[in-house]
Amino acid sequence: MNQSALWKRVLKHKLFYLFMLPGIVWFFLFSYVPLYGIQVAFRDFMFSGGFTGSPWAGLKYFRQFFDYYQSFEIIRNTIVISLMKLLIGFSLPIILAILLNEIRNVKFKKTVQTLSYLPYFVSWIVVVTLMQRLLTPYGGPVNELLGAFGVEPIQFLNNTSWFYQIIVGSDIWKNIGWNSIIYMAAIAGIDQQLYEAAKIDGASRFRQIWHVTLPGIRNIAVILFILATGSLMSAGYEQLLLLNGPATAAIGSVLDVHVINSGINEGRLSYAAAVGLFQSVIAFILILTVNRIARKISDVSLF
Amino acid sequence: MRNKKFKKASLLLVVILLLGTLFACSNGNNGGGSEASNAPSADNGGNDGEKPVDEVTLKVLHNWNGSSGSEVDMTAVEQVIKEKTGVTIEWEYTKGSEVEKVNAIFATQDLPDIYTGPAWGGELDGIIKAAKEDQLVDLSDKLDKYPNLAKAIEKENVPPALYEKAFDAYGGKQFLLYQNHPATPEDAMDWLYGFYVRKDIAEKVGVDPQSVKTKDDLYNFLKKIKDAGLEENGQPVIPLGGFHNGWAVGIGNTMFYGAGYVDKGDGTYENSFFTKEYEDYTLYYRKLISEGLLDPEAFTQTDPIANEKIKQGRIAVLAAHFPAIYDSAKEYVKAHPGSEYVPVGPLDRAGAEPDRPVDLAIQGNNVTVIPKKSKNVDAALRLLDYLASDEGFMLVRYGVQGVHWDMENDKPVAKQEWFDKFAADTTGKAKKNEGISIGLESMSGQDRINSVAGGDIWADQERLAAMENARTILRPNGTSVISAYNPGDVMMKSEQWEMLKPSMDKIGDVWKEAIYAKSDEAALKIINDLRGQMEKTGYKEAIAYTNENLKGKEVVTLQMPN
Repeated sequence: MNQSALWKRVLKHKLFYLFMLPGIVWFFLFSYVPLYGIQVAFRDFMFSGGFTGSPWAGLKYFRQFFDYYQSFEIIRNTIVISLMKLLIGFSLPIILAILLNEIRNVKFKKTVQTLSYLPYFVSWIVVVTLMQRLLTPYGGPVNELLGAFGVEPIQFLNNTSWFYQIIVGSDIWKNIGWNSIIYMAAIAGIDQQLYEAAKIDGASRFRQIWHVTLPGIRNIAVILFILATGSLMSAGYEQLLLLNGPATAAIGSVLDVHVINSGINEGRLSYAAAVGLFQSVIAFILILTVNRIARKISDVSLF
Repeated sequence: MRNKKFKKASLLLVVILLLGTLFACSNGNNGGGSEASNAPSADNGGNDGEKPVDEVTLKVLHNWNGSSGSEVDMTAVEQVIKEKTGVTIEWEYTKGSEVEKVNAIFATQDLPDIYTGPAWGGELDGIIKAAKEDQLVDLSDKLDKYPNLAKAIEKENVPPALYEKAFDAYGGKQFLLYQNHPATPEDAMDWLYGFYVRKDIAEKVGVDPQSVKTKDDLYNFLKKIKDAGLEENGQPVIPLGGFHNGWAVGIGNTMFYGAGYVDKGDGTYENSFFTKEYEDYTLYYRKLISEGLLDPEAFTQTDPIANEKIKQGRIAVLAAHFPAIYDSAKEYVKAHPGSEYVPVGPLDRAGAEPDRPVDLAIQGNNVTVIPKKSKNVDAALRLLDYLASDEGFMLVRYGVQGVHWDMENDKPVAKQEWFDKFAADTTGKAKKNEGISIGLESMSGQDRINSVAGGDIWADQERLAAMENARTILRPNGTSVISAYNPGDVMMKSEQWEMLKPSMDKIGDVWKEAIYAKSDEAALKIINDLRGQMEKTGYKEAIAYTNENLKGKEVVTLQMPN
């Protein structure tokens, strides 16, 4: 398509393109404009000099991070937690979307859908407070219930034995409904004739899911997986800031919280920017790599 | 037609969304706009009400987490301040980390006209950094006009190490003002940190709290409480607990080592973190946790959860300062007479003779600065000087003379109606709505509550009596105010400090991590790992520098929490 034809099409549908404008403005202001702040990672940030006037420091803060005795541990923890969330948390919204699609009672389906979305809108601070109340060994309902079956009280929070289960479980509970929306939309877009054809061929409900629904959402799933790999270096700072404690620090200290602590609490803004930049660069490399692999294997890719 | 209407409506929606996005992104610019002026006012510090003063509204950031103001626009106290100084105060209170706040305001340049906040820790470090980076108003050529402010930062009125670190550190320039340092020894506050046990529980397990002296005594006492299998509200009683984020269960360290730096015996000093005693202290607490004697939630709980446990009577021994314990247990004690918390010990102090007075670091708790972006520096100084005067001090602590209190025989006396009103209000809002305890007290110069103001007229007499009782037990040999050098303050001047500080800041976190470790070996490994990191980032050179600079000086080697 030549350029003038493209512009003609844009002009013809200008109203629809106008709807994109708030999104573009948002990304420009909050994702692109702040990029100029990256230079802080290479400067000795001073209040008086600001982003552009502080003296250059080269790779000093990157070296500081890699010299830090827990840097490997922090990177390892971040990747382990993110991988768990990705591997377990990625498939569950697909399963939920397929299950919801199979429900024929509309009222029941809508109720389940709404209930599954709700936790997404509850902030982590509320979720963690609820968890503290529910899971405390001192009279928490979960331990009371277990006690009724003769189980000794369990210290669920601040305990390395339960840490991963709590982190991954609460993350799935909070996001599964919301993440299933896009798959619901993809399933709704599948041509109904394919299901009819499958039925005529004698396919059972399970076979229809296997041969029609899953291939129908495959592309969107691959794209979402590629995007999700970008957050492998980010384990979710709010959740970890609140749920990680001294007892679980060895496996629960992650990059996001390290950045917040060193930047805002310790005032080491250049160091925090350097660690944050390292995180972003690795995430970018991961996206590029997974994108390339996906293109080779399945012909589906972001670019 | 419908299509046109739809298009118009859609267009309108897009425009609204776009404008909303842009508006939300615009800078609020609290800098003061057309009002902003650093020009000196004709009237400097005129607080006698005779000379006309320029009226101005100043934004004050009260950087104390959890502080709050009144529910009215202008309190009686603020009205008097406005009449005397021409300044109307617009308050901002910090909700959350004070260190985070101080770093955020300078990094984003969203600055108040007056900043006031803690005189220690990362908060003070942030202010010193701002002073060194030319962010604050140099007061050195102004203070002669503000005698009340000048007096509070005279060398003899600031602890020596703090003076060197924060007040006399800018080549003759003066940026910081200092508040709440006791003007005389009788004004000094001893917070009576210690372990306190519920009297009824001590009786139930048959232990006299005063017989608990050593670390083994304390361990056995906690074990007896656990083994007694006591319950409150259907829940087991926790032998030892604290407040938010573990405050202040760790104060048992004084049974193991004297202070943050210990004398190696050859005239040089070492950070206590590198000592065998520190390891013993860590393993002792690890044992308390692993045996269920210390609340495993102590280091992760919030204050509301801690207070809930205390109000339900579920904590046998609390470690903190007396006022916090007394206030949090008040409700439970009222409903269960005889269940008040009483001091344990006094416990043995490592390295201290039994008859030695308790060594306390007494210092002011507040520094105030004026950012260069302040819209009216002279009005700010006028306000601060008035608050630091005796008249201002009495006003912000007691309220308006003639309204809330009267002077009788040269002594302030509370008006009974107000005393009763304030005493009946457990929320503290009644006081705040008059302008008392809204943050002004942080800026009222040296603490003169006893020497000038005749003792707190609003104090709860029962509380004072209980505090005196605790003092008699915990301070049998009295107290002694530390005036020696803290090696930590000297180390900060070493060239390794920038690299070393992040490792040193980890000591507290690492200790907590170690006491939760699965084994003693794992706990010691956690400590040794950080020791290694500290050495890697220049600890050895920094401590050598510190020892060199401390030669011939008196150094703090015994210190109790305060």
